[in-house]
Amino acid sequence: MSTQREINMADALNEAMREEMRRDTAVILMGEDVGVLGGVYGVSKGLLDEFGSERVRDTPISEDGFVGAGIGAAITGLNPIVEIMYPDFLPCAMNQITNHMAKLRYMTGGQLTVSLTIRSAIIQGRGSGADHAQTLIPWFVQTPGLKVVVPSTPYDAKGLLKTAIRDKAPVMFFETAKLYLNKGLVPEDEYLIPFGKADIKREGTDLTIVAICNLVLEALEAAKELEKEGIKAEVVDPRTLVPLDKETIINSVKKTNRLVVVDNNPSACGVAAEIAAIVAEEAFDYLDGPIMRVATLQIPEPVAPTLIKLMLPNKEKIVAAAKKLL
Amino acid sequence: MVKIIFMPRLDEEQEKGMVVEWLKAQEDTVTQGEEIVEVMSEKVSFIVEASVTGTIHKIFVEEAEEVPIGTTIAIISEAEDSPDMLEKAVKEAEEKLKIETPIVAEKEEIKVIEKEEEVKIKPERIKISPIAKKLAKEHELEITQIEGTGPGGRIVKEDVLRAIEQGKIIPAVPEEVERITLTGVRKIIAERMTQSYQTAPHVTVMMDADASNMVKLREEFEEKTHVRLSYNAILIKAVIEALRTYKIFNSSIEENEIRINPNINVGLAVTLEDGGLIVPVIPNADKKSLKELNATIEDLVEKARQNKLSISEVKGGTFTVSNLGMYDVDGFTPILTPKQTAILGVGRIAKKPLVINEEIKIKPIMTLSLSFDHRVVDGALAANFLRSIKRTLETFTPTL
Repeated sequence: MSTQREINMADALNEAMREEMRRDTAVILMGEDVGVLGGVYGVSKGLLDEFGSERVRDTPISEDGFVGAGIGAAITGLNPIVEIMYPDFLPCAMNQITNHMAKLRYMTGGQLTVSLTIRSAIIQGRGSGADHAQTLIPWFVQTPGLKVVVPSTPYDAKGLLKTAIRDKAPVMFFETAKLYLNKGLVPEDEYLIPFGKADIKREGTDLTIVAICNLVLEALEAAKELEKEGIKAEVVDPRTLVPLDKETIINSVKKTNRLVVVDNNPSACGVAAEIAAIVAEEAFDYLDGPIMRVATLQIPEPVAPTLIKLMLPNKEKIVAAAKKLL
Repeated sequence: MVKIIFMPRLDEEQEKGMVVEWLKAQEDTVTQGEEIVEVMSEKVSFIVEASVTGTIHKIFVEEAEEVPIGTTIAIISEAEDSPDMLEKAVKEAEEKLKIETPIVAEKEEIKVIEKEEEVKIKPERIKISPIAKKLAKEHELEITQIEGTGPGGRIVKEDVLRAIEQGKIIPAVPEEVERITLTGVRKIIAERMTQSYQTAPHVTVMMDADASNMVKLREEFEEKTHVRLSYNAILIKAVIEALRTYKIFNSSIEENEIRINPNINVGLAVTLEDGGLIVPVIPNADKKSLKELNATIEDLVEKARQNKLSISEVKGGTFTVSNLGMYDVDGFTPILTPKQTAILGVGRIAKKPLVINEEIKIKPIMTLSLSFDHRVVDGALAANFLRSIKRTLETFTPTL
């Protein structure tokens, strides 16, 4: 048993990159302010000092350009991590991501490999305006060829980022800035978390709540609230959306017969919609009520905190959805 | 040309429609495409537009009035229409309305009665969750009898579980059931068979044996000794031979271990006249000659039928033979005596065609059915054991 210590998610991610860069000189980091500043949230602090400006590169504000550079570097044998500060800026590089990063390996029959990880920090709900508030996660789930990672704890974030960096396929790695300072137990020793393995964050028998990113924490809070009324909610964190661990979700629903899916995206064609559809198709006979989605409203995110509260999923909304099923 | 506006059909099952509101009055002029009247069925409403330009000559159906589909509700006249043509059209429409109205009323009455009956037999769609429906089906519960306590009165899993628990909706049992309380031997058999069948995973293998040798043996025995030889004695002798080689079939399983019994005590299932069953045991059967076995069997069977067996004569069995041959049974799947590893079921001896060297021969055939505890032994070994019994039966010539 290796010793564990409590560190926050930003430090866990920093360790993941540091360990991988030490392990393999092909691993490089590019992005806006990742070098001298060490990342706007300090996630890449100290990496420039340790690995030098050849391997840790500050880029201009040119997402299309440096994602393209990352793809080129990956094709020619490097193993780059590209940071796009916020997912809202991913659309600037969308042609590179959807048409090249996701497709090249397939279209060349495997002659080209794009072992590229794009990291991006969600700042939803911060009041920074509608163009600094989106996750856009469903876009990438719907783009064949990409893997999509959505960690909620320091432990998961570190183990999954290391797996992402080593994965030969292109990976979209969504961090949540709100979680960066959250602490959790992380082993001293090296570990990896495989993709496609959901984690049951809390066990329960009456209801399954599937949630991603920071909403896992809201779901856990909701479960505590429900517990007061004798309702035992199980909280399932898929951790990766592509590949998705359908089995764990379905087995949980088979046990509890009820499902609430929580999504940090609009409900239309979103993550919650897909999980709900899978359960409806594959576990219909086990459902004891409709599948409830708790998603964001189909509107651009407002700036006023009171309105943001109305727009985003939270503990109260999850509890309300759960109670409709019981 | 006189243009008739009919009550339109809005839904598949609609029979009648209601005028909600006239957007035009009698004598009003209308242009083609202009909205004239709003009508509705039970489910939807619809605005009828003028199909021609003209004047609303006459309105036949008032607002809030219901008429059958196809009823003339108004007539639009065009400029060139003659008064005669219009009068004729009005007359036709009015007459039709007169005939139809009473019929409609009658129909309505009949309909109402039908509806009431329908309510009794076929209630509204019952709201039930998928898993509740599945559970109800599995337990053959009538969902109309289950109270739904879920949101909106939906029958949910909990409701079905409660119904199962209460057992109140168990499929109707005929009133005149004859009830026999389980007592005595019947009760013991019930308990032991349940215990055995629920603990030991049973598998049965079956094999045909040529009984010619047995028939011959019996004849010879009777000739020499003038005593009737029971086939069971021969069978038990063959079983003993096989058990000497395959000791594992003479074992019992207890907790985490298989115990191979040092003695071979063979039980023989005996049917009692009152329908019960008892298994007297021949202790140390392997130490007995065929003649001794035969005598012991005769003695035990006789005692069994007279209900005179002592407890010691039914205890300690390590293997059981059950013979249903006298009831014309061929093969069957016997249930193990609790804790024993195997039981041999014996069928009748019947003449059957047998292929020997590409020729069909008629031979007396006996089917042997061996049930075994799959925790202790596997199919191939059981097959070998059974084949060993079969070969002994087909070939051996024991000393008497």
